[in-house]
Amino acid sequence: MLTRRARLAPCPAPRQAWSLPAGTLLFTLAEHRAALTSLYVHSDLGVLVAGTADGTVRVFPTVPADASAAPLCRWTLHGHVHAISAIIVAAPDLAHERGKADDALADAGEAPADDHAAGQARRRGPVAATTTVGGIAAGLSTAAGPLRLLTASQDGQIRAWDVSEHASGVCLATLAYHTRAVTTLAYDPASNTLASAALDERVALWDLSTYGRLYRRYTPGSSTLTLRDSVLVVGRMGGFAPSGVSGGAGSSSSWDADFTAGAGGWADAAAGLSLVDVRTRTVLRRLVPLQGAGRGGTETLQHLAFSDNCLVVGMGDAMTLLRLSRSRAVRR
Amino acid sequence: MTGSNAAVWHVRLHLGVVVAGCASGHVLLLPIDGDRPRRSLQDGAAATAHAGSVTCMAVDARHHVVYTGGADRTVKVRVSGALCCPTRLHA
Repeated sequence: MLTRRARLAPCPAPRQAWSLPAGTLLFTLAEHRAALTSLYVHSDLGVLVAGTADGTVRVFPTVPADASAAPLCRWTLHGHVHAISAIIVAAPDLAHERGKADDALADAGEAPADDHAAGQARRRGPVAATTTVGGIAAGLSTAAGPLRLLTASQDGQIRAWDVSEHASGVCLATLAYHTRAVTTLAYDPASNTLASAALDERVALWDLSTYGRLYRRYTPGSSTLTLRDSVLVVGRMGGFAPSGVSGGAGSSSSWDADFTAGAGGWADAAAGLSLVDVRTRTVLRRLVPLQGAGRGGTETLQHLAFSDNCLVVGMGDAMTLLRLSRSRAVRR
Repeated sequence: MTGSNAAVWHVRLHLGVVVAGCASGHVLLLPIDGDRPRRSLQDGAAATAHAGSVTCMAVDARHHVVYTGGADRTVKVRVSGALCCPTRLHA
């Protein structure tokens, strides 16, 4: 292991030793029979999911960095006949729940629990109790039912699997709508909703209580999306032209807000980001970058994700954080 | 950013480390110096690279472990490096 001496300035806890193993190989998982096409990790639940070109999905427990044995495959899921293109676990937002529980404890005059498991056990609400056995969360129960794994393949099919502790990895449902490869899956615990985007230029919303399709929309070009707190954010991958109009809440920044709340549909909002209320399926806002605000020409949207209360937008060679609320979106 | 002669297909950012998967099968972990990635401090990653292209990648932020999937039909499990506050490091 390569170590590097360095001077450490005062640094917020937790501090860790400066060690740069630079990719020390722990294990090689070689039970796959086709090329890997998709990997997904849920750190809180301790789940690693691997999808391959032959449509097989394998579920492993995650391992700590000092693990002495390679993780053993927990489930091998067969059903897809084309390459796996997207994977997500429909799990409660444990970090969010943890924060709410700590807030509640603080309000009650108690110190937040430092230990994750203890914090989980004290929690009340959607997550009843969680312990970890062999890296995979055991006994996890949610208001929405069993712990589900959602996988999508290049033929457009989405499958839901029961990966609860004592389940056998049975396929719960097959969600069929897309006709080409599904590129993105996003899950919102608040609304128990799944969103999918595919190369068929369509975006769909699914109710995971009934596995019924709530919403579908044609969006020219391939899209990426993310979902949080009943707000779906859809952006067109690739280039879109910045707006030449200034003004709105973000007029001093590189973002403009186009107030379209209540407007019907959002297929015409391909030239930017669309924020859609999952419950009412109406557009809350449309966001397009302003021309000349440190950028020029055509922007290239590459990545959308929620981080805490911010929307992270990866575009071109830059990343923008948008602080979102239901009433307004202000660039940070 | 250097360290690979092949196209970088997959990139993740984790605890101040850019994890890059390349078409050559190399997995590079590049610490960020300030706000810019710098060359990997170790070329040893090449020794444990995939025999085929890196096709997918995931990071376990809790355990600081990086998982990479390759066209060689394997998943490599590797430590991402216990880096903390890299911008405050001075070599």
